[in-house]
Amino acid sequence: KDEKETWTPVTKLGRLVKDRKIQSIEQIYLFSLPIKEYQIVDYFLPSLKDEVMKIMPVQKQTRAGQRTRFKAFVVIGDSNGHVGLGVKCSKEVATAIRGAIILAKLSVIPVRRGYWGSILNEPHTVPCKVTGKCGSAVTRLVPAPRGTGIVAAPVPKKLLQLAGVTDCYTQAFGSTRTLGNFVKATFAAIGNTYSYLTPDLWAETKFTMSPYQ
Amino acid sequence: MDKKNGSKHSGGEKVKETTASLKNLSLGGSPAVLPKHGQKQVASTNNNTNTNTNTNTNTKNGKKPKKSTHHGGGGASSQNAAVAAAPKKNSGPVLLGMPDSPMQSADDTDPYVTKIGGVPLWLDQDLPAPAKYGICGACGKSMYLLLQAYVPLEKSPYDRVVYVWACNQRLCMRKAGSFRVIRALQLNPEYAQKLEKKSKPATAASTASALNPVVGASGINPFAAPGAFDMGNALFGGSGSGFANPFASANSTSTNPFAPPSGFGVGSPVLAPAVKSFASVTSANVPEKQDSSSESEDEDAAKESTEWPEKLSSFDPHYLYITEEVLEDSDAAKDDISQRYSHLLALEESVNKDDDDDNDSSNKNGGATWSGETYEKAVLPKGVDKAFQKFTERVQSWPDQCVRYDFPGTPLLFSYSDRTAQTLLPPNATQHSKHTNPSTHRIPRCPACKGPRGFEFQLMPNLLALLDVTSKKYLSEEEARSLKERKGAQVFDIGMEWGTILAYSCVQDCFGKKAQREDDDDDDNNRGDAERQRKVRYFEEVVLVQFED
Repeated sequence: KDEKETWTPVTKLGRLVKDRKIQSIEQIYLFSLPIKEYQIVDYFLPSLKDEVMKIMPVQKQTRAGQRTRFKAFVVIGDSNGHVGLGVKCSKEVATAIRGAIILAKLSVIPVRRGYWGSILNEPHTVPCKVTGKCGSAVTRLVPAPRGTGIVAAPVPKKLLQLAGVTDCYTQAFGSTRTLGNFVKATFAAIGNTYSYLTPDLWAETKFTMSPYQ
Repeated sequence: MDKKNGSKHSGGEKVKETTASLKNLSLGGSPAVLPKHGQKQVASTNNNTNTNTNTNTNTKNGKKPKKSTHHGGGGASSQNAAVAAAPKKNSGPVLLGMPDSPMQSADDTDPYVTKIGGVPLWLDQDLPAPAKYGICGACGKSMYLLLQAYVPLEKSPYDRVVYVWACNQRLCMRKAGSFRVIRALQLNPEYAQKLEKKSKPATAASTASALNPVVGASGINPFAAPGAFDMGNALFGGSGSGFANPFASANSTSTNPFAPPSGFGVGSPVLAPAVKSFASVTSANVPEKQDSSSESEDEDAAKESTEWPEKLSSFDPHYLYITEEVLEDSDAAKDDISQRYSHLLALEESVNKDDDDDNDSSNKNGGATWSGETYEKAVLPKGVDKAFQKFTERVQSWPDQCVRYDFPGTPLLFSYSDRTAQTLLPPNATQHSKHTNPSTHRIPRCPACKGPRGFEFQLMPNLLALLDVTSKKYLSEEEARSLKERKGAQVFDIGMEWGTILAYSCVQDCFGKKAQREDDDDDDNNRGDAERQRKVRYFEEVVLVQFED
């Protein structure tokens, strides 16, 4: 249907994107502008792949028995520096998955990659040791030499693959049995790669005008 | 109407056959828009069956009636929508204004057109609104017309037009006075006659059918789609009074079905003069009148300056076509997911069959489980809340929509957490999702009749994209000069920026207290009639704006 394919933006940022005033999603990240429409992300990153990690039924006890809803965990990424994680709970599986995909797109975050040793070829690992925490689950990402691959449990491994990190050592603390928290902790760790101030960022940045101007 | 509808011609023919049957319906249902100009075309599959039952519950209540379309009569343009699906919701269908073709500035002359942008056109060229309405209350510059809509109500003898102005300065956005909604009323003698004749439909029907040779075979056409009734009702709208003004209906039949694809531009000027001449004839018959009125209201109005600048700053005008909102399930998305994740959907089946936890908690992760999860609210980016999600979802089925009309109805809020929402919603509404229905008790009452105000329509952000508000051509001269001095900095001083604009207007559609008293006293007084005919009254209505963040 034609109506479905065309997107008319509702927010100011959406309008700017539609008019091609913004060249890349990194400009949006630079100013920490909240992305409220997932079509913006689709526009800049058409090659995003989504993957449902898990659908689990969560139950609530009511007078008339148990009320079951489905919680969907969806990880999305383009294997080249952008990942997103979406969690959505809904009465039907399909609705939960669809909602989680949209939320994952809204939460796409850039991933900074670096080198373990010699600065040769493309960045392949995390730039430094980063850690992320959610609940009691703590995940620590450590740079690894080229060719190591991702040394992690299947859950964070999937996330790191979609982020575009090729080699990485991981350490997990706390209760990793709660996989919901575990995956969120890894996501937080990946997000911290750009929060970490490394010496090469010491130079003063020249401020540019926000896309709104 | 125009190019939008392939079915227009067929609709027109059906209409002729069913007109005779239409006369038996309550003619008061639709002070017809279409005989005048054919712009406001509405699919109202429900209007037909409900005009008889609903006339009492319509619009006069504060509540939203079950099925309410006030622009009585479906036009051919929306027959597509009508045929596609009846609205799924039980409550009255919301009418959407979708952008049509751009209007030529030269054609921007008809006050009965519904349009975006352009210059404001008055119901009577000699009685414009006070000029202060076009000035921003915050910065004093002149405002741009966003919307002019011809929105007569059922059972009302008045021509009713709403105007929405907004200031294009970014700095004025959040200040009071930068948005304005005006409602203009003018007594329309045709409608008034029609309302009177409503009490004698039988005689009207027979005489009208005899006099109107354009109407085809009498008798109900069993194959007519429900929408056709309304279209006919609207097209021949005042067929009851058709014999009084044969030009109007004749014009409508000849111009409407064959209106050129370029839009209303050609059709409307043909029709408008027919009506205008009638009005001007009556006003010519009435001597002086302007100074002899003893009502202070009129004196005040005369004192207020009605001097509008010669060259009004305005956006490029576009036509709007009106359609009912028909919501459909997004099957396309569902299919995609069900293909890729069919195994997961199977899981849903199994879980629903046996409420057994054991199947789900174990997996191959060496004992690590996913159990212990509970329902959690989604983590949303800043500025996204439940209201915004519902808003985008609703807009997605008709992404082009510029105006939503539902009088009196409920608005589609853009967010729950801004000042506007706080005005409309009970406190702490967002914490209990049951209470997120906007109510109007905190909205100021109509100053003329002290009656309540109800939500009438809202403007959608697509309007901003359509009108290109930040384009440099709307810079005034000094602004353009200072821009050059800044050497390449992007313009951001101009350009309005809002999420949605809600307009609330008097539910009773009052014409002002003194006029109503006059109506009671001078019913048979011809002089009073003619005087009232000419008068155009302007009322400022409440406008609430919701912004992002």
